[in-house]
Amino acid sequence: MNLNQPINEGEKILLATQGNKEAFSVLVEIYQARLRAFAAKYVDNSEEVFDLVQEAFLDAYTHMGKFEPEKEFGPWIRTILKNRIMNHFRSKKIRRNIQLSIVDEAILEKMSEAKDDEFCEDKVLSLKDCVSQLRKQHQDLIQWRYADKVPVKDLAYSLKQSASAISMKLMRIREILRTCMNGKLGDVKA
Amino acid sequence: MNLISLDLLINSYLDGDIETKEAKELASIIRSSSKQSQWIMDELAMRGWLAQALNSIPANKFKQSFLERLNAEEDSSDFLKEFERRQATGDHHTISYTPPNSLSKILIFTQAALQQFNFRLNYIFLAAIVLIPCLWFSFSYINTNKGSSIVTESGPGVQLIRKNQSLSLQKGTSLTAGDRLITPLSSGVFININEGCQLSLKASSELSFVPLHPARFHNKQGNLVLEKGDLEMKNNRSTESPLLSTSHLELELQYGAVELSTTQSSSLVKVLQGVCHINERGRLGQHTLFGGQYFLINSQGLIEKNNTSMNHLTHFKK
Repeated sequence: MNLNQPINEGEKILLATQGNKEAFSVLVEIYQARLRAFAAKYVDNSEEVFDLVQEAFLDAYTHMGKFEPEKEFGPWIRTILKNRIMNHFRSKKIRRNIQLSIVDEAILEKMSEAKDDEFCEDKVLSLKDCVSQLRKQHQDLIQWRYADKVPVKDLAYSLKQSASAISMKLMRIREILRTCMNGKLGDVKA
Repeated sequence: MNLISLDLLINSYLDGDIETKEAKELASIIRSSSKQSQWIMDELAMRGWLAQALNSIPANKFKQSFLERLNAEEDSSDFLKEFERRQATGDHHTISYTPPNSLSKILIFTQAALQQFNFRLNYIFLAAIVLIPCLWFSFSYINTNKGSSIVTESGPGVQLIRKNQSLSLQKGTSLTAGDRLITPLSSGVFININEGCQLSLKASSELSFVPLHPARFHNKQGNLVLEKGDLEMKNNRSTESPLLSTSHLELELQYGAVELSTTQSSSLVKVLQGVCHINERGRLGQHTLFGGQYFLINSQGLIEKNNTSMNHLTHFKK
């Protein structure tokens, strides 16, 4: 599908409510990045995010017959995903150690209170742009830490620096990225 | 607490090495309505968005993967067909259905209740309530030797090692914690692990049933260990599969069918259909694989993870 082509989303939703798999797959293509950005707010592991978003789409497909086409699809599927993420936090408690579960539970509580009325896809897109503007050295560090999930202690050992020095460096880079991201989002809004 | 110290706590949490006292401190700040609480949530979100920005997945690839999964979900009988097709003997044995015994039903209920219960601060109290009866059930299970894992077909020469004695394996034999299966060069064995979950241990392989069995109760602790060789497992999506382990990884098949091979130096997972979760043994690496993906690992960690063809196993040198 060419996303540059105008898509009649309402029509696809209507067809999907009648069980049309092809129409639903178009909705998947449209909404997957938004939903992944939303899930990433609470889950930092990309593969878990991928899995959760797919499961949310599976839930949505199963219950598509109950969806009222005159309503907005975005908030509906976002709610499904949020429930999925909350269940994910609850179920992983069994396999996590007690220390991690203590923090997981606090995040879960915070999440249940949050309004969460936006997808945040624009933030991911802006960040992608902002990362490409970083120095190569900083790009590598960000890649190792946030994409490859290398623990700070391992980074410190490899780069022959203390864990706090690495942590500080990462914090500064995130600050640069945040400023850049907010600037880009401000530009878009303006 | 200043932001630098908070940042260190967040890193310890994400890296899985946070201490109990630090975890309580971090949780307490998150629960508060302070600016620091918001800062932590923003920081966690920032890390997640960065992971997404750095791991972009094309929309069409996501859609394709979703459709494969949807098709698998819609026709779970495919798993059985695939499993049966791949049974090495070529015989069309029916994989027998073993209804869950009353113990399994109680354990399913216990686990479901456990998952839904909100622990909060009374972990010890709840752990005592849940673990004591469950341990009692498990030990009574072991003592009475009533396994939910049943041998459905066994080739000639397959050995069952139980309490240091070598026994011949027959159709209908119950397998319990502590058992070890050793297959000869030319035959294998088929086992019903529980309702909806079947396992085929191939030739020249060794599989151990580690305490505590049955899988339903203690499946997160690792209960089937492939010591060497190859196996195939099929899990209907409605049942929980046991945790499979090798010396390099732990594997949980959410649903679908998977092939697992291991040698001293490495382990290979090939997901034929469905979804499979893998933990790198002794490391923090966690991976989710979908139908058509393989995962090769040695004791140093992940070697390769990718899409695969059905013949990928031929690349796995023993």
